[in-house]
Amino acid sequence: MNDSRLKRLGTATILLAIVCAVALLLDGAIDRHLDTEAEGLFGFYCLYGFFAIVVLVFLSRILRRIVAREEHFYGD
Amino acid sequence: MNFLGAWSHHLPVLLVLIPLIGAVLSPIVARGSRGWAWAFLTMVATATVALELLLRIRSSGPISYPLGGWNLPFGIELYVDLLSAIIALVVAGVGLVVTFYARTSVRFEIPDDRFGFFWSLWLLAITGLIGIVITGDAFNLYVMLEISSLTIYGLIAMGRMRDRRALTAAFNYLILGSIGAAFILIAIGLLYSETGTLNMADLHRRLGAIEANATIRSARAFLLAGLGLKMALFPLHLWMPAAYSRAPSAVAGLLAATATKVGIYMAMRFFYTVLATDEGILTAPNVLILSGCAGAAIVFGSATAARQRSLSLLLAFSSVAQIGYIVLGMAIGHSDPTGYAMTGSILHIISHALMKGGLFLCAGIFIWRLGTNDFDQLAGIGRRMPWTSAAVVAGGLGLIGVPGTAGFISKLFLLRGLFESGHPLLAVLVLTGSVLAAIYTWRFVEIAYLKPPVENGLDHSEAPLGMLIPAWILIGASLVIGFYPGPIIEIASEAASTLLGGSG
Amino acid sequence: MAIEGFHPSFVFLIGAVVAALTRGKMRSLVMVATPIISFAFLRGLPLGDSFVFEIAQWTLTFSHRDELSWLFGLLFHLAALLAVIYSLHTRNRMEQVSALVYAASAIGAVLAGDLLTLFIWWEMLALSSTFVVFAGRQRRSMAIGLRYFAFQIVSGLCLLTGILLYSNSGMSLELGRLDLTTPGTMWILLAFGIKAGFPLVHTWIVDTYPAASATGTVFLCAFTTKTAVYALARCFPGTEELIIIGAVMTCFPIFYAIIENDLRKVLSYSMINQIGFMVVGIGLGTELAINGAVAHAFNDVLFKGLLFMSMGAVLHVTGKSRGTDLGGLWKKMPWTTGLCIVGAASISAVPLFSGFVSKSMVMAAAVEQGHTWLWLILLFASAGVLEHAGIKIPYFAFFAHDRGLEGREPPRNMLLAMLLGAGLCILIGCRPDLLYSMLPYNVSFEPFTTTHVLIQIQLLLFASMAVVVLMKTGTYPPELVKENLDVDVIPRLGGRALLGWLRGTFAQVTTRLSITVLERIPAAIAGPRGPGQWQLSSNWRLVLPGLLLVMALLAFLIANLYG
Repeated sequence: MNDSRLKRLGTATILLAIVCAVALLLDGAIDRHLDTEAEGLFGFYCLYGFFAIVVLVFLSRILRRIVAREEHFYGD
Repeated sequence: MNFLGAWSHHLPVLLVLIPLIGAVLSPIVARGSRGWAWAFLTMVATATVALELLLRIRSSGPISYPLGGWNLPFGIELYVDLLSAIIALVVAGVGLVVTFYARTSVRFEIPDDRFGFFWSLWLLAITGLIGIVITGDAFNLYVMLEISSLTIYGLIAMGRMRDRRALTAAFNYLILGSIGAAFILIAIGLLYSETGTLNMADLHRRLGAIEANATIRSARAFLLAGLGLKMALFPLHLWMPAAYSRAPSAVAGLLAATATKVGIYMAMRFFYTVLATDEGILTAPNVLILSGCAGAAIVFGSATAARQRSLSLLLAFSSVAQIGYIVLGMAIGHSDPTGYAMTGSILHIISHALMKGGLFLCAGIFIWRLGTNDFDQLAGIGRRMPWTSAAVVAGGLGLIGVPGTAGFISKLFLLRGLFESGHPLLAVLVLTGSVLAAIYTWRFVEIAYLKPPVENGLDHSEAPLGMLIPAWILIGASLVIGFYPGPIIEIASEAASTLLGGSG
Repeated sequence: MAIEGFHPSFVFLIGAVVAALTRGKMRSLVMVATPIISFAFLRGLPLGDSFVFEIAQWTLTFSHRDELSWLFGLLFHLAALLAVIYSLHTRNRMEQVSALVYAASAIGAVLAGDLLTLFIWWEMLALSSTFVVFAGRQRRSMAIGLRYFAFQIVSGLCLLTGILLYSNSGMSLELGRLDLTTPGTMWILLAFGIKAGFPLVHTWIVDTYPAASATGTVFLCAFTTKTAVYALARCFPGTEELIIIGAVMTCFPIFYAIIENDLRKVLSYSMINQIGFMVVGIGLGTELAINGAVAHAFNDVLFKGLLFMSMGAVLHVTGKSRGTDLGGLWKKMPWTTGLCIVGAASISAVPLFSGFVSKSMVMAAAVEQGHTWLWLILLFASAGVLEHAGIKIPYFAFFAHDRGLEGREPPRNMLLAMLLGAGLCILIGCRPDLLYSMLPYNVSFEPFTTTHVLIQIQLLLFASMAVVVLMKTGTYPPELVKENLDVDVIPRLGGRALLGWLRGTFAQVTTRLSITVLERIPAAIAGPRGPGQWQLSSNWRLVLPGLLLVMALLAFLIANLYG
């Protein structure tokens, strides 16, 4: 990654990426209390959170294609 | 509240004498604007007497009052039972409120030089209507009917300053009404020829003693046709929309609330007391025709109302339908052992008088402001005249029969009666009528509240209190009954059981 | 301070009457004083039943105080106070008066001790809130208010039907747990469900809330749905059907929330999602789950109120509430921005904010019961909440593209109400024991374990990361000015079709029929006629009625002589 691309990403994004990395690493450092099997996976919550949003967004795009109509659809 | 002292014995005759004397003296004592004050005072006295009479009859039973001291059955008798007292109070009470309203409204609807004449006719019409209700004599009833009819033709014709067509409406009504009244007279004549008496109680007794023959049966037919016209029962209602929509607005309010109701009272009186012999007038074919007409009235009246272009016409056609409900309850009343149908019918007389009276007053307010109540001029009026429009909506809800209105109470009883007497199909018809009423009420809501207001350079501000208060008194009374129906139901069911008891 | 001997709802009703009669500062004073005075009376209510009236064979219990009703009573007083402060600057008498009646009805409903009393307040709730909608004074307010009223009235009718069937089967009308096998209870559940925004009957929420005035929505979002949640918690705890219904409610709105442009509509979808969590909790029915549901209802009123208040502030200042019109306001409205972010953090369940301490209870209860799939769904929904309420709302309103809008901080009373709301969100987030001590069951729950905090932070961080990545790559759906169809498309288009049919075909048929009956047939008998609807040509005006009269006479003669 060269300098200009880093700049375009913005400081906030970079900070967020760093914090995310720390949180992921903490997963290994802290012994979590487990309630379900799935949770045992390393970084389960990180993956789940990330892909939940990805799935959500993609499904929403499909939903928009189905339900979106012009603004005054109901004539009011 | 016996404040009449020794006069309290003469209550029945006072009820007719007060407005009669008021009418006769009106052109002499009071000219111009004082005419209203005189009429108003007369009406206050009349309504007080009517109330006193109702209370007295509830406590001590029906009153028979021989006129002029002639012994019965030769003299003319005034006979007041609970039903008469109720209707008399409706006429006098609504008459009082509408008189209050008329003070403002007649000023621009009647030519100035006609004021004195107007108030005479007004009081005379009320005299006639009350007279019909409290008389115990069949011929006297006819006389009173003519008094009220002739004055009403005159009152309708006075709408000519606003709408020339009031003259044709009055003329048509005059011709038809006269034929109708003639039918009633023929019926009375035929009954007299068979029994030799005109006293109603006596008629009932003697008719019970003889076998029904062709004369008596023809009398019934004439009576039914004549009363059908006076009640404006479909399809004999054709005189009514024109008459109601072109009469001066105060007159329309008075007529809509009282005139047809008195017609129905006559029917009840004849069907359930005078002619209530073993064979009776409510034979299967008659009930079939009456309930068929009533059913058609409900459906056609409401459907026609829904496509009128002015509020007055809408209300007039809605009256056709509402009369259908009342006649329906009355026609099947005798086959309903529980008495619910009859109670519903009487309740609907009261509630419809209040609601429709109030609604016609509102229609008159729009005319007063805009010169018309055509719907295209009423667009967006809900924002400019909120109180009047709200009253129309409240009255409309009553016509639909929404819980919390008087219309709901009376329709509920009617429906129960229809089910109890095994007429579920007619009950469906009643409910259909409610749906249609919802449609025409909604039309007003849509026009008044959802459409952008029209700009026609007219003053759209709210009506003066002199018109708004009476309209809201009537509408408000119907809402009060809707929320506290107890006493009214009690009185109506008492009156119904008295009537039904007479047919046994 | 606790005063005995008066019902809090009546304090509100009296307040409403006085507010209707006063104006200006005096009315403001009355509006603020009402919830405070009423609260004193609420504290004075005795435990158990009071204000019991016997009418005919019915017993109406107007106050039944236990932990559950007390907590909701307190909540509604808080909500009323905040909303009143928020709306002090308006001079909309109709809205303010009906809002007080509305609050009175909600408080009356949660204090009701039997189904009939509940029904009375239920209808009052419907009526008064409809007037709050009407008071929006927009062109659309009337039509939307009528649609809203239709839903509320149907709910009331369902409740009435249910009560009648239920009491006919000989059951006591005392308010308590209802068993779905008893006749009538399905109706009652449906009635509650309509008000709670169950799927398919949720559309009134997203239809109405974005359409009310900036201040009106704050009242609306607090009472109706939460009264329904209370009623569900009271009557249907542990009803398993609710788990599925709730799970659906948590999920489907988040898809809509992403593609919706009107930020107040986003919040309305978000509201259904939050109620979903509560309904799941009630359906699970364990003590922990019920506690969680109730606590979440409490928090939701505060943070959802805060979010609606901040969007209302934006609407008040700029006149806009759509993502496509807004952006870049943080410089001009820094306080509002900050307070909105507090609300966003609370609803997203960031640790130390209020949503975290209650939502984790419901989740924990789901795991405890072994509902792994349910737990995964709720986790998914939590990520969705973060996306639409935690990020989208503040981002599109205050950051994103600067549209160069005129902006300033809203009036002080609005800021004060938001400050109070935000303060409560943080207070509960940091000192959850204050809330826990008031919950109906005595269950120990420790939200701030390392595990809980860590996994929540991981979930939120990576979900945010995903949003950033999707936005940077242009995959994130852009804000578009669109109407997104919901299930109400069926009744709305159907209603329009029906209206069209009534006005078109139906009107034509009835017109033809009546013209035929009234004019054509008689005219055919007697010759030509003029045009007109009911009005007959001049000759006919007299002849036809006369003819009819004669025919009637003939009919009656035949009927009487030969019948």
